[in-house]
Amino acid sequence: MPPDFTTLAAGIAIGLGAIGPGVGIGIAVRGAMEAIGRNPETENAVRTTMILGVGLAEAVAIYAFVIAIILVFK
Amino acid sequence: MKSSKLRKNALLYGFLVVAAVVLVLSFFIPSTSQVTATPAAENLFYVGPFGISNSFVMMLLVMAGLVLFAYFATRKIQLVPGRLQSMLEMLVEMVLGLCENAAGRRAGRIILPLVGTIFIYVLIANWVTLLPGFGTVWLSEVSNGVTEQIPLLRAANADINMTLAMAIFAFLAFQYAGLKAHGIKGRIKEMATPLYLSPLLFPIHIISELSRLISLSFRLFGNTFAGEILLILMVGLAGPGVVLFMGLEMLFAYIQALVFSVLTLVYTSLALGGFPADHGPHESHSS
Repeated sequence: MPPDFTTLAAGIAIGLGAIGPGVGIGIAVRGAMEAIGRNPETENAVRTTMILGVGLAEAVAIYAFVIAIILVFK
Repeated sequence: MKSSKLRKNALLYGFLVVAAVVLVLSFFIPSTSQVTATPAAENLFYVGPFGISNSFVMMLLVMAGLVLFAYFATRKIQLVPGRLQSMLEMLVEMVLGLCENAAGRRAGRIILPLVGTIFIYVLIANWVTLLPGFGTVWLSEVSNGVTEQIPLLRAANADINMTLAMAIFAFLAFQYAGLKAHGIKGRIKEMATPLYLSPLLFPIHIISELSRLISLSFRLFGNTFAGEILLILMVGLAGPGVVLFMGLEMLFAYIQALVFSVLTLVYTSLALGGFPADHGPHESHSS
């Protein structure tokens, strides 16, 4: 019987998949903070847009997570 | 006046004391985390060939709750709103503001029911999962000699069928808006805008439209399901400290409700106004 690498594969999937969204969320929040710092009265509008962007970036990690879950519970 | 305020404060302090005692006591209870989560929703019973899953039951409960709440809040509509009515009005005004900002005054009011329904439903369906007793009431079932424990309730959005159905409705809505605004010819022309690049661009546009369906549904499913697993893991790791993560889950639920509804809105306004004008001035004839 060949060794079963699915758990390892799931770990690699979520681990690698979390790198991109992490960097992306960092960049998005940095941009929002700079915008608020320059222009404090736009805080509400910037916050809403930032949350939207962060949610979109986070979704990429979620895809990786779904793949990992499918591998583990297969 | 003063005594009623005092009574209110006494109630609050009493509640806090009871909560603190329960929290301290719960440190001494050995946490036996037998809870597992499976990616697919479990069927509770069958109606003909259709399995009724625990997510479906949850969805019906949430919907019934929302409909009843809306009925009782709007039964006696007054010019000076009462508590329930003003709460609903604030919610509707918030979503209306979002819609009118993104899609303009007229189209915003048309798309409001869809966006508002998605927002309120996703928010409540995810918040309800944090109530006690949720997912911890079991139904034991013996199949092939193995006892399986099936939770009676499961987060409605932790089922890909639910989120996919919502995404399909949103997809149909913004495709219909695009077709209504530009016609079939205009829509195809838009997708193949620089004519010499159209063999390359047309399939890409088609794929990007279809990928919205997948990303909308999987984002919500993944987030809700990941939240459940996170809570289960944290009960095993941190015991009562899971309360912190429940607070985090409330924030995530709000963000996901916002993301799903605002994305529906943004896609609709994109379909209405054509693609964003970042091609440069010399291609403005396409719209």
